[in-house]
Amino acid sequence: MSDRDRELEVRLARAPREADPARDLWPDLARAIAAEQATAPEMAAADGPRPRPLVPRLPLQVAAALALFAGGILVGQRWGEPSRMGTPERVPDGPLAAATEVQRAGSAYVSALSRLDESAGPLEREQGVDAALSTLQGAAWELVRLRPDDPQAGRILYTVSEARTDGEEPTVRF
Amino acid sequence: MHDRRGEFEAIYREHHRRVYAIALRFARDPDGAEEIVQDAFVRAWRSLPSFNGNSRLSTWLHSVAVNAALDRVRMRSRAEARLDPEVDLDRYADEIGRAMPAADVDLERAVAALPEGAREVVILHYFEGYPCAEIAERMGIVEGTVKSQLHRARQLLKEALA
Repeated sequence: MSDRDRELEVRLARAPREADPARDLWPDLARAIAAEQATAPEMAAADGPRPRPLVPRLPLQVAAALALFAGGILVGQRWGEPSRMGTPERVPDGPLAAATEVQRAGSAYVSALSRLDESAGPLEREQGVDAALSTLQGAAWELVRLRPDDPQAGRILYTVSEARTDGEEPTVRF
Repeated sequence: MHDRRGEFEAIYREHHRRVYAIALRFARDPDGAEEIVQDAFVRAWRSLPSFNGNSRLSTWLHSVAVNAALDRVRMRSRAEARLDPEVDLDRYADEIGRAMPAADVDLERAVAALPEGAREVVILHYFEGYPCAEIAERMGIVEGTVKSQLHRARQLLKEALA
Protein backbone atom coordinates (compact mmCIF):
# COMPACT_ATOMS: atom_id res chain seq x y z
CA MET A 1 0.00 0.00 0.00
CA SER A 2 1.44 3.38 -1.01
CA ASP A 3 1.54 6.51 1.14
CA ARG A 4 -1.27 7.98 -0.94
CA ASP A 5 -3.35 4.87 -0.34
CA ARG A 6 -2.76 5.09 3.39
CA GLU A 7 -3.56 8.78 3.44
CA LEU A 8 -6.81 8.14 1.61
CA GLU A 9 -7.77 5.34 3.99
CA VAL A 10 -7.13 7.60 6.99
CA ARG A 11 -9.19 10.44 5.54
CA LEU A 12 -12.06 8.07 4.79
CA ALA A 13 -11.89 6.53 8.27
CA ARG A 14 -12.06 9.97 9.93
CA ALA A 15 -15.23 11.00 8.13
CA PRO A 16 -18.02 11.96 10.56
CA ARG A 17 -20.90 9.53 10.98
CA GLU A 18 -23.50 12.06 12.03
CA ALA A 19 -24.98 15.19 10.48
CA ASP A 20 -27.46 17.80 11.67
CA PRO A 21 -30.41 18.59 9.43
CA ALA A 22 -30.96 22.31 8.87
CA ARG A 23 -34.39 22.12 10.51
CA ASP A 24 -36.37 19.91 12.85
CA LEU A 25 -37.80 17.13 10.68
CA TRP A 26 -39.96 15.61 13.41
CA PRO A 27 -43.14 17.71 12.84
CA ASP A 28 -43.29 16.63 9.19
CA LEU A 29 -42.50 13.07 10.16
CA ALA A 30 -45.20 13.04 12.84
CA ARG A 31 -47.76 14.22 10.27
CA ALA A 32 -46.59 11.62 7.77
CA ILE A 33 -46.97 8.90 10.38
CA ALA A 34 -50.43 10.15 11.25
CA ALA A 35 -51.37 10.08 7.58
CA GLU A 36 -50.21 6.47 7.43
CA GLN A 37 -52.68 5.39 10.05
CA ALA A 38 -55.78 4.44 8.15
CA THR A 39 -57.34 3.25 11.38
CA ALA A 40 -57.05 6.74 12.86
CA PRO A 41 -57.44 9.09 9.89
CA GLU A 42 -58.43 12.00 12.10
CA MET A 43 -54.82 12.25 13.26
CA ALA A 44 -53.85 13.30 9.76
CA ALA A 45 -56.16 16.27 9.92
CA ALA A 46 -54.04 18.16 12.40
CA ASP A 47 -53.49 21.85 11.78
CA GLY A 48 -50.36 23.01 10.04
CA PRO A 49 -48.75 22.47 6.69
CA ARG A 50 -49.23 19.21 4.90
CA PRO A 51 -46.44 16.66 5.31
CA ARG A 52 -43.69 16.59 2.78
CA PRO A 53 -43.70 13.61 0.45
CA LEU A 54 -42.30 10.41 1.91
CA VAL A 55 -40.62 9.70 -1.39
CA PRO A 56 -40.35 11.80 -4.52
CA ARG A 57 -43.55 12.05 -6.52
CA LEU A 58 -42.79 9.79 -9.39
CA PRO A 59 -44.91 8.60 -12.27
CA LEU A 60 -44.24 5.13 -10.90
CA GLN A 61 -46.37 5.84 -7.85
CA VAL A 62 -49.26 7.04 -9.93
CA ALA A 63 -48.85 4.08 -12.26
CA ALA A 64 -48.92 1.68 -9.33
CA ALA A 65 -52.13 3.20 -7.97
CA LEU A 66 -53.73 3.27 -11.40
CA ALA A 67 -52.75 -0.33 -11.97
CA LEU A 68 -54.57 -1.22 -8.76
CA PHE A 69 -57.67 0.64 -9.96
CA ALA A 70 -57.52 -0.77 -13.46
CA GLY A 71 -56.98 -4.29 -12.22
CA GLY A 72 -59.98 -3.97 -9.95
CA ILE A 73 -62.12 -2.60 -12.75
CA LEU A 74 -61.22 -5.48 -15.02
CA VAL A 75 -62.06 -7.98 -12.32
CA GLY A 76 -65.29 -6.16 -11.59
CA GLN A 77 -66.34 -6.06 -15.23
CA ARG A 78 -65.72 -9.75 -15.57
CA TRP A 79 -67.14 -11.10 -12.34
CA GLY A 80 -68.94 -8.29 -10.58
CA GLU A 81 -72.52 -8.90 -11.72
CA PRO A 82 -75.01 -6.45 -10.13
CA SER A 83 -77.21 -9.32 -8.93
CA ARG A 84 -74.42 -10.42 -6.66
CA MET A 85 -74.02 -7.06 -5.01
CA GLY A 86 -74.25 -7.15 -1.26
CA THR A 87 -75.08 -10.83 -1.21
CA PRO A 88 -72.81 -12.79 1.07
CA GLU A 89 -71.59 -15.89 -0.62
CA ARG A 90 -70.07 -18.96 0.83
CA VAL A 91 -66.32 -18.92 0.40
CA PRO A 92 -65.11 -22.27 -0.87
CA ASP A 93 -62.77 -24.31 1.22
CA GLY A 94 -59.28 -25.08 0.06
CA PRO A 95 -56.00 -23.32 -0.54
CA LEU A 96 -57.56 -20.62 -2.73
CA ALA A 97 -60.34 -19.73 -0.29
CA ALA A 98 -58.70 -16.57 1.03
CA ALA A 99 -57.75 -15.33 -2.44
CA THR A 100 -61.26 -16.05 -3.70
CA GLU A 101 -62.76 -14.08 -0.86
CA VAL A 102 -60.51 -11.10 -1.61
CA GLN A 103 -61.36 -11.32 -5.29
CA ARG A 104 -65.11 -11.39 -4.65
CA ALA A 105 -64.94 -8.48 -2.24
CA GLY A 106 -62.90 -6.54 -4.78
CA SER A 107 -65.43 -7.30 -7.50
CA ALA A 108 -68.27 -6.10 -5.31
CA TYR A 109 -66.36 -2.92 -4.58
CA VAL A 110 -65.74 -2.17 -8.23
CA SER A 111 -69.31 -2.99 -9.22
CA ALA A 112 -70.64 -0.63 -6.56
CA LEU A 113 -68.47 2.14 -7.96
CA SER A 114 -69.70 1.39 -11.45
CA ARG A 115 -73.32 1.74 -10.35
CA LEU A 116 -72.46 4.97 -8.54
CA ASP A 117 -71.41 6.53 -11.81
CA GLU A 118 -74.60 5.41 -13.51
CA SER A 119 -77.19 6.51 -11.00
CA ALA A 120 -75.92 8.92 -8.37
CA GLY A 121 -76.25 12.70 -8.34
CA PRO A 122 -73.26 15.00 -7.81
CA LEU A 123 -73.48 15.02 -4.01
CA GLU A 124 -74.02 11.28 -3.73
CA ARG A 125 -71.25 10.69 -6.20
CA GLU A 126 -68.87 12.84 -4.17
CA GLN A 127 -69.75 10.97 -1.01
CA GLY A 128 -69.34 7.69 -2.84
CA VAL A 129 -65.94 8.69 -4.15
CA ASP A 130 -64.85 9.67 -0.66
CA ALA A 131 -66.03 6.34 0.68
CA ALA A 132 -64.29 4.56 -2.19
CA LEU A 133 -61.00 6.30 -1.45
CA SER A 134 -61.34 5.53 2.23
CA THR A 135 -61.88 1.86 1.43
CA LEU A 136 -59.02 1.87 -1.03
CA GLN A 137 -56.78 3.45 1.58
CA GLY A 138 -57.76 0.76 4.06
CA ALA A 139 -56.99 -1.91 1.47
CA ALA A 140 -53.63 -0.32 0.70
CA TRP A 141 -52.85 -0.19 4.40
CA GLU A 142 -53.60 -3.91 4.71
CA LEU A 143 -51.30 -4.57 1.76
CA VAL A 144 -48.54 -2.73 3.59
CA ARG A 145 -49.23 -4.74 6.74
CA LEU A 146 -49.05 -7.97 4.75
CA ARG A 147 -45.89 -6.96 2.92
CA PRO A 148 -44.13 -4.35 5.07
CA ASP A 149 -40.91 -4.53 3.07
CA ASP A 150 -42.55 -4.15 -0.33
CA PRO A 151 -41.85 -0.61 -1.58
CA GLN A 152 -44.61 -0.86 -4.19
CA ALA A 153 -47.21 -1.48 -1.48
CA GLY A 154 -45.89 1.51 0.42
CA ARG A 155 -46.11 3.71 -2.64
CA ILE A 156 -49.68 2.64 -3.35
CA LEU A 157 -50.65 3.53 0.22
CA TYR A 158 -48.85 6.84 -0.06
CA THR A 159 -50.47 7.71 -3.38
CA VAL A 160 -53.96 6.86 -2.17
CA SER A 161 -53.37 8.79 1.04
CA GLU A 162 -52.21 11.77 -0.99
CA ALA A 163 -55.35 11.60 -3.12
CA ARG A 164 -57.49 11.60 0.03
CA THR A 165 -55.72 14.48 1.71
CA ASP A 166 -55.75 16.52 -1.49
CA GLY A 167 -59.49 16.04 -1.72
CA GLU A 168 -59.02 15.21 -5.36
CA GLU A 169 -60.74 12.50 -7.28
CA PRO A 170 -58.51 9.83 -8.75
CA THR A 171 -57.68 10.16 -12.39
CA VAL A 172 -59.57 7.00 -13.20
CA ARG A 173 -63.23 7.58 -13.90
CA PHE A 174 -65.50 5.32 -11.90
CA MET B 1 -51.34 5.79 20.14
CA HIS B 2 -49.87 9.08 21.32
CA ASP B 3 -47.70 7.23 23.86
CA ARG B 4 -46.32 5.14 21.05
CA ARG B 5 -45.73 8.29 19.03
CA GLY B 6 -43.94 9.81 22.01
CA GLU B 7 -41.67 6.80 22.31
CA PHE B 8 -41.00 6.92 18.60
CA GLU B 9 -40.13 10.61 18.77
CA ALA B 10 -37.53 9.74 21.41
CA ILE B 11 -36.08 7.14 19.04
CA TYR B 12 -36.07 9.70 16.26
CA ARG B 13 -34.35 12.32 18.42
CA GLU B 14 -31.63 9.86 19.39
CA HIS B 15 -30.89 8.49 15.94
CA HIS B 16 -31.85 11.09 13.33
CA ARG B 17 -28.35 12.58 12.97
CA ARG B 18 -26.93 9.19 12.04
CA VAL B 19 -29.73 8.64 9.54
CA TYR B 20 -29.38 12.14 8.09
CA ALA B 21 -25.66 11.54 7.48
CA ILE B 22 -26.44 8.41 5.47
CA ALA B 23 -29.23 10.17 3.62
CA LEU B 24 -27.20 13.26 2.78
CA ARG B 25 -24.33 11.27 1.32
CA PHE B 26 -26.64 9.17 -0.81
CA ALA B 27 -28.91 12.00 -1.96
CA ARG B 28 -26.20 14.67 -2.30
CA ASP B 29 -28.74 17.40 -1.65
CA PRO B 30 -30.54 18.43 1.53
CA ASP B 31 -34.06 18.11 0.11
CA GLY B 32 -33.46 14.57 -1.07
CA ALA B 33 -31.80 13.76 2.24
CA GLU B 34 -34.85 14.93 4.16
CA GLU B 35 -37.05 12.72 2.01
CA ILE B 36 -34.85 9.70 2.73
CA VAL B 37 -34.90 10.46 6.46
CA GLN B 38 -38.66 10.66 6.43
CA ASP B 39 -39.01 7.53 4.34
CA ALA B 40 -36.63 5.64 6.64
CA PHE B 41 -38.43 6.62 9.83
CA VAL B 42 -41.86 5.92 8.37
CA ARG B 43 -40.62 2.46 7.39
CA ALA B 44 -39.24 2.05 10.89
CA TRP B 45 -42.58 3.13 12.36
CA ARG B 46 -44.38 0.54 10.26
CA SER B 47 -41.96 -2.24 11.11
CA LEU B 48 -41.22 -1.41 14.73
CA PRO B 49 -43.89 -3.81 16.06
CA SER B 50 -42.10 -6.65 14.28
CA PHE B 51 -38.64 -5.61 15.52
CA ASN B 52 -37.56 -8.73 17.35
CA GLY B 53 -34.76 -7.27 19.43
CA ASN B 54 -32.18 -9.70 18.11
CA SER B 55 -30.10 -6.74 16.99
CA ARG B 56 -29.62 -3.37 18.62
CA LEU B 57 -32.22 -0.81 17.73
CA SER B 58 -29.55 1.47 16.31
CA THR B 59 -28.24 -1.31 14.07
CA TRP B 60 -31.71 -2.16 12.86
CA LEU B 61 -32.59 1.48 12.24
CA HIS B 62 -29.34 2.00 10.40
CA SER B 63 -30.18 -0.92 8.14
CA VAL B 64 -33.65 0.50 7.45
CA ALA B 65 -32.08 3.85 6.55
CA VAL B 66 -29.58 2.27 4.18
CA ASN B 67 -32.40 0.39 2.44
CA ALA B 68 -34.41 3.60 2.08
CA ALA B 69 -31.38 5.38 0.63
CA LEU B 70 -30.60 2.56 -1.80
CA ASP B 71 -34.24 2.42 -2.92
CA ARG B 72 -34.15 6.14 -3.65
CA VAL B 73 -30.98 5.77 -5.67
CA ARG B 74 -32.58 2.97 -7.67
CA MET B 75 -35.76 4.98 -8.24
CA ARG B 76 -33.79 7.99 -9.42
CA SER B 77 -31.78 5.79 -11.73
CA ARG B 78 -34.91 4.44 -13.32
CA ALA B 79 -37.26 7.38 -13.38
CA GLU B 80 -35.55 10.69 -12.75
CA ALA B 81 -32.01 10.45 -14.02
CA ARG B 82 -32.93 11.54 -17.51
CA LEU B 83 -34.89 14.50 -16.19
CA ASP B 84 -32.47 15.72 -13.52
CA PRO B 85 -29.04 14.20 -14.04
CA GLU B 86 -27.05 17.09 -12.61
CA VAL B 87 -26.06 17.24 -8.97
CA ASP B 88 -25.09 20.62 -7.57
CA LEU B 89 -21.83 19.69 -5.86
CA ASP B 90 -21.26 23.24 -4.61
CA ARG B 91 -24.59 23.17 -2.78
CA TYR B 92 -23.78 19.71 -1.48
CA ALA B 93 -20.38 20.85 -0.21
CA ASP B 94 -22.03 23.79 1.54
CA GLU B 95 -24.51 21.47 3.22
CA ILE B 96 -21.76 19.07 4.27
CA GLY B 97 -19.83 21.96 5.79
CA ARG B 98 -22.90 23.12 7.69
CA ALA B 99 -24.23 19.72 8.78
CA MET B 100 -20.87 18.09 9.51
CA PRO B 101 -18.49 20.80 10.73
CA ALA B 102 -15.69 18.28 11.23
CA ALA B 103 -16.02 16.83 7.73
CA ASP B 104 -13.23 16.81 5.16
CA VAL B 105 -15.23 18.72 2.57
CA ASP B 106 -12.79 18.06 -0.28
CA LEU B 107 -13.01 14.33 0.37
CA GLU B 108 -16.81 14.40 0.64
CA ARG B 109 -17.04 16.33 -2.60
CA ALA B 110 -14.74 13.87 -4.36
CA VAL B 111 -16.83 10.95 -3.13
CA ALA B 112 -20.01 12.68 -4.27
CA ALA B 113 -18.51 13.09 -7.74
CA LEU B 114 -17.76 9.37 -8.12
CA PRO B 115 -19.73 7.44 -10.72
CA GLU B 116 -22.89 5.76 -9.54
CA GLY B 117 -22.10 2.32 -8.18
CA ALA B 118 -18.63 3.24 -7.02
CA ARG B 119 -20.08 6.04 -4.92
CA GLU B 120 -22.62 3.83 -3.17
CA VAL B 121 -20.01 1.18 -2.49
CA VAL B 122 -17.63 3.72 -0.95
CA ILE B 123 -20.37 5.14 1.27
CA LEU B 124 -21.43 1.73 2.49
CA HIS B 125 -17.91 0.36 3.00
CA TYR B 126 -15.90 3.30 4.31
CA PHE B 127 -18.53 5.52 5.92
CA GLU B 128 -20.99 2.91 7.14
CA GLY B 129 -18.61 0.03 7.77
CA TYR B 130 -20.31 -2.70 5.76
CA PRO B 131 -18.15 -5.64 4.60
CA CYS B 132 -18.02 -6.32 0.87
CA ALA B 133 -20.18 -9.44 1.10
CA GLU B 134 -23.02 -7.55 2.78
CA ILE B 135 -22.78 -4.68 0.31
CA ALA B 136 -23.06 -7.19 -2.50
CA GLU B 137 -26.17 -8.68 -0.94
CA ARG B 138 -27.83 -5.31 -0.35
CA MET B 139 -27.05 -3.96 -3.81
CA GLY B 140 -27.85 -7.21 -5.62
CA ILE B 141 -24.42 -7.55 -7.18
CA VAL B 142 -21.60 -10.07 -6.78
CA GLU B 143 -18.87 -9.52 -4.23
CA GLY B 144 -16.22 -9.31 -6.93
CA THR B 145 -18.02 -6.34 -8.43
CA VAL B 146 -18.03 -4.60 -5.07
CA LYS B 147 -14.27 -5.09 -4.74
CA SER B 148 -13.59 -3.87 -8.25
CA GLN B 149 -15.83 -0.83 -7.64
CA LEU B 150 -13.87 -0.07 -4.47
CA HIS B 151 -10.57 -0.37 -6.32
CA ARG B 152 -11.82 1.92 -9.08
CA ALA B 153 -13.19 4.39 -6.54
CA ARG B 154 -9.87 4.57 -4.68
CA GLN B 155 -8.04 5.33 -7.91
CA LEU B 156 -10.50 8.08 -8.81
CA LEU B 157 -10.39 9.57 -5.32
CA LYS B 158 -6.60 9.66 -5.29
CA GLU B 159 -6.63 11.45 -8.63
CA ALA B 160 -9.28 13.93 -7.47
CA LEU B 161 -7.49 14.70 -4.21
CA ALA B 162 -3.96 14.88 -5.61
